[in-house]
Amino acid sequence: MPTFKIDGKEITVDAGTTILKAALAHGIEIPHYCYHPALTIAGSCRMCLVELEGSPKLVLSCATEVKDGMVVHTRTEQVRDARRSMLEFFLINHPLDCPVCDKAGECLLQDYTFKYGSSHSRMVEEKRVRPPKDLGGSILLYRNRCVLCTRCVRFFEDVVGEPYLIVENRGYHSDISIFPGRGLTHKMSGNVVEICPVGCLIDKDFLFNARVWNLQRTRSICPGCGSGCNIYLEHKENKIYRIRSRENQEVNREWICDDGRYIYHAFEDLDRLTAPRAEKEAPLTQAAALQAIAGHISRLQQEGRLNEAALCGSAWATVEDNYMLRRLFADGLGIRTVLLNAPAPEGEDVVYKSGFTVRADKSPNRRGAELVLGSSRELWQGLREGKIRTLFLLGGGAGLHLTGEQKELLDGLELLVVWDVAAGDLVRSADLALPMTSFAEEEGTFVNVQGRLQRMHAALQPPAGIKPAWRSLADLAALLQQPVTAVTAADIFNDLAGRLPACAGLSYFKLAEVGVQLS
Amino acid sequence: MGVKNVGYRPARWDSSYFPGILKGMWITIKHFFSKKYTVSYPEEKWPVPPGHRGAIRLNKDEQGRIKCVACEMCSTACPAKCITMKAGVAPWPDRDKYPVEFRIDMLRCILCGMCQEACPEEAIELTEIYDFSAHSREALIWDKERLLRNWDITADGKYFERSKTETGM
Amino acid sequence: MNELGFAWIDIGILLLKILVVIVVNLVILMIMEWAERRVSAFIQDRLGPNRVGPAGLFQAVADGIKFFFKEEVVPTGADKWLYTFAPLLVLVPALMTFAAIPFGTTLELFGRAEPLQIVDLNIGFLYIFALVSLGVYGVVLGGWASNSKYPFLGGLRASAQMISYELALGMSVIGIVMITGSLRLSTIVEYQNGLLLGFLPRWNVFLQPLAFITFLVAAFAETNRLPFDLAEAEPELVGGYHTEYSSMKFAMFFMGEYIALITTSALLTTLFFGGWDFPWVDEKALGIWGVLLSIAAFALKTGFFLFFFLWVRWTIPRFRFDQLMRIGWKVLIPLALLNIVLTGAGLLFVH
Repeated sequence: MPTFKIDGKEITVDAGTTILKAALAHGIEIPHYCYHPALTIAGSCRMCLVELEGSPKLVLSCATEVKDGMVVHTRTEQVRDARRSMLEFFLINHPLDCPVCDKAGECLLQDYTFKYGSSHSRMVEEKRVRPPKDLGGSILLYRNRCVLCTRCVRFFEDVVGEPYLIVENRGYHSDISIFPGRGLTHKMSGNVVEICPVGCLIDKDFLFNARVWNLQRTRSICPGCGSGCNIYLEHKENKIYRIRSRENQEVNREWICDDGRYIYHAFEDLDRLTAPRAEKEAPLTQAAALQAIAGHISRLQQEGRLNEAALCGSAWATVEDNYMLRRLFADGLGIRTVLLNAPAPEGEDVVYKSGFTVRADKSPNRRGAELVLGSSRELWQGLREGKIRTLFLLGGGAGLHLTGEQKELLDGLELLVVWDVAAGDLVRSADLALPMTSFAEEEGTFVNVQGRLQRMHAALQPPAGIKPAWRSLADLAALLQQPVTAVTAADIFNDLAGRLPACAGLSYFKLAEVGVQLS
Repeated sequence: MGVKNVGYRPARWDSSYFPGILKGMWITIKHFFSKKYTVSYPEEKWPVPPGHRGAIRLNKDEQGRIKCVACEMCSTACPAKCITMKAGVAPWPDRDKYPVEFRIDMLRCILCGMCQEACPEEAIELTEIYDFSAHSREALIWDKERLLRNWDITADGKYFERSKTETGM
Repeated sequence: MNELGFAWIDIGILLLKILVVIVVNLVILMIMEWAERRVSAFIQDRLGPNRVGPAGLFQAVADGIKFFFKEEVVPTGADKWLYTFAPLLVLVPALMTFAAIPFGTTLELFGRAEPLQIVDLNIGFLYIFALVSLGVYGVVLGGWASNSKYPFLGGLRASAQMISYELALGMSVIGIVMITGSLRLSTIVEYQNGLLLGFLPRWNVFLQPLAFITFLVAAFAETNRLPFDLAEAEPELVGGYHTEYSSMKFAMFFMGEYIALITTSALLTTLFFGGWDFPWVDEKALGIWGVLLSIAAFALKTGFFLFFFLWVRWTIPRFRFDQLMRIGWKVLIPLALLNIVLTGAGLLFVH
């Protein structure tokens, strides 16, 4: 446990820690480009030079391990000079195109030049101009802007484990490039845009769409698979413009896959169910739809046929939606048959070198649904037995297609009530369909395949008239005079935490940002 | 009792009011025959001094293309948040980005000129057009074409020499 | 002459003259409404209304149409009858005054000698002052009938002001009556038809300068014009006595004021500037041309006074009420009395 002094501050760190890491951990900023905590040390950018007493020249803070008794200065005139000179080098060929660069606003070159650089240029020579290069996939390479930090090259080597990008040529002619004949179509390639400290690697999907400082960030969970990657939804005027990864060392570290990165497009084009709908009839009002359901239920109760009814949770819906379904139909009305609507796994989990995994289970909340529904059976298996006549089903999966057999099974039901996002196959088979909010429109919690409960926030306003499923379930409960009330998603979660032993002691607003590992 | 004596006592001749009245009448009759300053708007327009901050225009370059590169500096600087735009890939080889749509809500605009100050391309400017009223709210939400037309009628500095039909204002 | 002592042709001609006088008055009224704004604009280096018709001359027509279509608002609690009657009481006496004023020399046509005057009253002088003092009733009643504070104050001011100045107005012209020895206006005009000291027209303004000044000042007060428009002082009383009037009723007040202005100008011309007399010319000897010349002379002089009223209005600020009263009682009335004494002494000296 070496102890050293940095800017007059005595710091004790673990053996093997670099000066840069120690400084950053203690709130001392040292500018850097090539250093990234998840990647191997390159030491190529020379921005992190600091003064080390006893050393004849400045040392690389990213590559120098802390030794006991070291004395480091990060703010001396010499260090400042070094930074200013390095930035001058970086800017020799860097175009002054911040106004049209998508990175502007979150660009380290911009920030450091502003902070440590010179306010004017001594360069009178023509700048080298090279046109942007399409790397294939969704990535553009603006070579003029590159600072050759090689973060992107090391990302594919260290995190993905498959080298995709290389540094071509040497010296002045160095250039980020791709192996001949290959496109940057890897599922993880979107991450290089995020880790690029300058505007060299640009995402075509976001190209010129918005300036980053105009975007609002909302913390959310990727609904693409069971991994439950932490993401930021970046949105403006009720429209998502891009998704970025949110660091969670327990789940996805700093990365997300491209399936998740562009998943919001799938929800943009969705044919939404915007109002309750009876079979082949004009849209109903929400109140009329709930009245109709309540009428059916009281008839079943009078005829003593509640045992023919079943409820079906959803692996796409939040813990709160599933829990409300169970509270109303199973606990309240006493329906015993509990099913779960979840997709069959698609192939195998894909695990990359760093441990980042893309799951075969393409639903985000299977564990959560199982948790709150208690013992449940698979939906179609349950239906095939033929004992179920009435089904209350929670949908939520966008673009779910039914096979002929599945459609027949649903058509054989006496009554099918569906809550769903899209007006898809399930809604078409339903006798009564009610809309529910979609991804990014609703807050709530998901439990990923590791059993980690994570909270997401609402970024968008749902279209007029669309409520979360739990809210229409709560309204239905009020109609049926069931003592199940909820005004916010937090009410439901806190109720759940009091009843389920796995969640005991949890409180909605006190859930950690990185989630809670359920036992 | 509310009246403050300021110690002024007019001479007897002055207190008869006549000298004052005659002097006044002389002044007014002089003005009666002097030059009139009325500007017969809209036939004539008062040419505003240079630097006047009137309606906004989008400038064109020598080749007649829009100068704007859609960097959104103007909308960022705008205190009234009246500028919205949609950027796209420019159809010209010498630049990356250009505005596909550019909209200024002149109902919100306060003509402060911050956009002009913020613009790195000298693509947006305030002009000498001060009379841009309209009969509907929609007509005051100006699109790219409208803003470029402002350039056409003001770029040569001859806005006040143009006819009403030519300027459309 | 029929058995009743008049000829039908006389009545016809009389009616014709009345018609002509009223029409001419109304036309001048319209011009005045335009001129008021144009003159004020010119004095203020502006152009004024110049859009309706040539040089904006039809502005009055546009205003008339506007007034006609304005909503007529009668305040709650107003005395309906008096409220409606008051504007008429301003307008009608003002128009009637003109009946006694000669506006040209005698027209001799088809063997008839027709004086260019509606009625040549032997007490024309008294008739005119009687009608002028009636005008104040319209203002006072209008202010009172509106049942509103500001109009009421305006009416009060008007009554005090007009009664005060009527004295000065009446007394200032007694000198003229003394010189002329007649109350008949045509005689007064005829008297001024001549030369003084061989070159100066024998107008009363030269014989009675003190009377002229007194009369002029009093006339401003009587017509409620600036600098004596305290009855409708906008900064203090909103609109004064006509605050609550709208539409055509307001227009009638307006018309009444301007007609009074025209009448007063005509009266100033008649009493002090030789009426229809064109100096150094014997109109009677020129036949029909002389008549036209006399009418032109009368119109020109009246026109000058009309302009003078506007000119003064845009030059002199409003007096305070105490100043107004002081001038009326302590300056003008003594001056008028002094004038009578001086005239008397002068006449005694001459005879």
